[in-house]
Amino acid sequence: MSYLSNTYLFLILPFIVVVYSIFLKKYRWVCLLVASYAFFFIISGKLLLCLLFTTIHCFLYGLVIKKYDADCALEQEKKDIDKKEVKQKFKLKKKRVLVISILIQVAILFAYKYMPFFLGNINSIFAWFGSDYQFKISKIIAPIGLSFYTLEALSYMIDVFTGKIEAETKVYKLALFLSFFPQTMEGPIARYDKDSSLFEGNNITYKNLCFGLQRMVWGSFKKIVIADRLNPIVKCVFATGSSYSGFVVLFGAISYTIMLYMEFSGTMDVIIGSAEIFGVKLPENFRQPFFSKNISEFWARWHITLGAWFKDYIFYPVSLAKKMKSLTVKARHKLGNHFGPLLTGSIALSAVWLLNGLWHGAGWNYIFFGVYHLFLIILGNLFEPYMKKLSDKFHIDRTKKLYRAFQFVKLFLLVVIGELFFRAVTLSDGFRLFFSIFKGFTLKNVFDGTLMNLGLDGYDFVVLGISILVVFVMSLLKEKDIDVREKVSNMNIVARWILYLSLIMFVVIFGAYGPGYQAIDPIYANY
Amino acid sequence: MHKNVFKAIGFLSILTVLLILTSLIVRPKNNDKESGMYMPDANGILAEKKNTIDALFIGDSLIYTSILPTKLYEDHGFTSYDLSTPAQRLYDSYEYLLKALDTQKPSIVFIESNGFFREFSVGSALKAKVSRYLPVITYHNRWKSLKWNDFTKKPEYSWINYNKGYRGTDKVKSPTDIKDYMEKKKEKKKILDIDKYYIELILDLCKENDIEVVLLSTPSMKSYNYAKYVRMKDFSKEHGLEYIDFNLDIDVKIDWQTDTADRGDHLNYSGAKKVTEYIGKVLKEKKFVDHRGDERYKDWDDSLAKFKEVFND
Repeated sequence: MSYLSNTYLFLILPFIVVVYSIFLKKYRWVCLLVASYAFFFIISGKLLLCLLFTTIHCFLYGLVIKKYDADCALEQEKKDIDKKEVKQKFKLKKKRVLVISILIQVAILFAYKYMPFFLGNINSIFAWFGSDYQFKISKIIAPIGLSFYTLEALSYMIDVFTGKIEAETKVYKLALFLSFFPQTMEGPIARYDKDSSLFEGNNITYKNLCFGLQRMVWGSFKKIVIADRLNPIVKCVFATGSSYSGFVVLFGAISYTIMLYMEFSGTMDVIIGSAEIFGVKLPENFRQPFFSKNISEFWARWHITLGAWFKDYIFYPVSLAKKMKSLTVKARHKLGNHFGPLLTGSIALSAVWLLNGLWHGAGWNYIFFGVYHLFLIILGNLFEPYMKKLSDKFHIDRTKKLYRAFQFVKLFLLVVIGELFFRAVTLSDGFRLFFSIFKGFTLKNVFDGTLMNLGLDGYDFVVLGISILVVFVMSLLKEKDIDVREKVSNMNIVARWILYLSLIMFVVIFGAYGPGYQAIDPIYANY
Repeated sequence: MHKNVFKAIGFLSILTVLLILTSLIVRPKNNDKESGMYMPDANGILAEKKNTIDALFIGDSLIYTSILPTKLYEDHGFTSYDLSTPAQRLYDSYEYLLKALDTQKPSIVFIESNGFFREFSVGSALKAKVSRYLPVITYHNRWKSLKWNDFTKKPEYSWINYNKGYRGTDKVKSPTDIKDYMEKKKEKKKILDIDKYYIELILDLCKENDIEVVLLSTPSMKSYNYAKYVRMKDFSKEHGLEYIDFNLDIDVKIDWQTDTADRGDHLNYSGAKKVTEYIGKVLKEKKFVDHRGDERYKDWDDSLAKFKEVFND
């Protein structure tokens, strides 16, 4: 089931909304929790136990840390005691609990997601050394959204350890935080907040309902009209053993990049819109990523909550570790103020991007995807001062529209190459596709009818062109800080309704669903 | 509060009107493929003369590859139709049956039991139901081929399907291995609750219209196994329904080397003839009327002639 399935949109969500609104305000969390667990059970069945285990684990972990803090404070109150030493002693105890807890959660994630990949590689190594021994690899079905709720659980544990948040004493709050049904499958990866609107049992107001639905229709437009329509092209070009080359492969990779953006950001709109109906504000996951100046910024605007997680829980802890700090000082001394910190920063970045690649999937193509972006970011950091000098020398104004357009095209192509490897079935298939772009590349393919053999007709391309343009304009307005949603809500009722009805009817008529179309499975739900 | 309720009702009403209007435009104006009809083979029934079909066969591809309505007419003069579509879900079976009953009064409905074990979501069943009233859900893509007629004309279904829903082939592709076929095992295949719900709907609908129901398991090495067979035996007993199973109970001498088109999954024309012959005997025992020579059924003679020409039989 996806968040854009009929079952979710027209049965599950309306049912929960109705039941939620008849519950007393102070018991609405019960409704949301039961609904979330039921939703999880419908999709993952008995694997709900994994989520339950993580929830109880988080809860007990929090209580233990809380107890250590209380014991530490008590002991520090005693006379003739070295407070620093006591603090250190308890910090060590807490650290032990944290490390064990993190290891348990990572082990679950590893067992469900990475074991077959890991064993497969071990088997290859055995075979390479001539050993006949092979591990038996069985297919494991992971609980839905495992990677998402595990990261949420880890952030809770680390934040409790560092004292950023207090340990939660009400288990239901943690349970709801980790299972909230609109974000179970695809995030966004939220951080725990005791006072979150999630626990308030807000009334379903007319405004929240309208804004939530409005956002959901917009998400449906991106997913059903654009992403699903691009699906045949992507399937055709990326099929194992496909014989396409040149411009067609590039076109396929561009289509996949657009499809991925429309699918993921569209689903995110549906998710955030669903939560908005209940007055719950979920963190945003996209901020017009294609308007970024460089790949580093792109990743701060694409899947924002994942990037922020890696920044806070991998990048900073690694780069601010004592050993790294002293290494930075040494490197700064030897390599200067630019290259010195860059070297140690790159070590922290390597950890981030290796894990980022692996988070997206257990496969060498995903690891390559991470390394590719790491390479681009380091390269960008290395050459940035020289690029600045160069543009100053040649009097290139980097704020001018022409330069921004150049940046847009450059960034887009770099992202497209990364996504090509991301979508490829295997790493070698990714390389095959990448190099095939340079074989017989000709723009003639645009006009000679080749593109018409990829599963779409001329009408489809017209709908795609118009729809992508609409999304582009909307993103441009948002980039210029123009709040389109607010502007629409301030319109008079006739204009507003015409707009809403037009969008709904556009999705109904021009959506790529029903006979002859195959909707893409939620891409990020597998993570 | 009241103001907002009225606003919501107003908005939904306008949306419904728009959906109805677009439905009127995009719905196919005839029941053939050229007019954009979805699943024209099954929808061919829409052009059959009122109350001329005696028997209906509903289900998935096993029906349209196993039952030859034209042969039933040729051999016995019985009129029937394969109301079957690929991987037909039970909600679709129900909708097709409802649609057929708008114009036909069959005395018997054969239900292919393979669909009893097919999983589907409540959402897709809901979509099928809504599509019946708002065809724009199914036919929205017809905006690409709209003609002036679509804005002005009412649907007139005139395309007679001479195959009467049969979609088989005379190709032969024999299976490599038939060892495990219907091998005895302990398990019984479960019928999901959602499937049970639709089976009950279909049975109730037949009861209301005084239609006899017969459960059918046509020969298929890939679709059938012992677990399904045992479950169907139980099910037919529980519901007091006749059950015809061609995989174990009834031997119509299917030769898997010559009677299948796709390695044992579906029968070919030769296999379908064997199954149809048996069904003909069943209908004869039930005293169905021979319509051959009846002026009202003359178009069946035309269909039969066309069918025989195509299959060179």
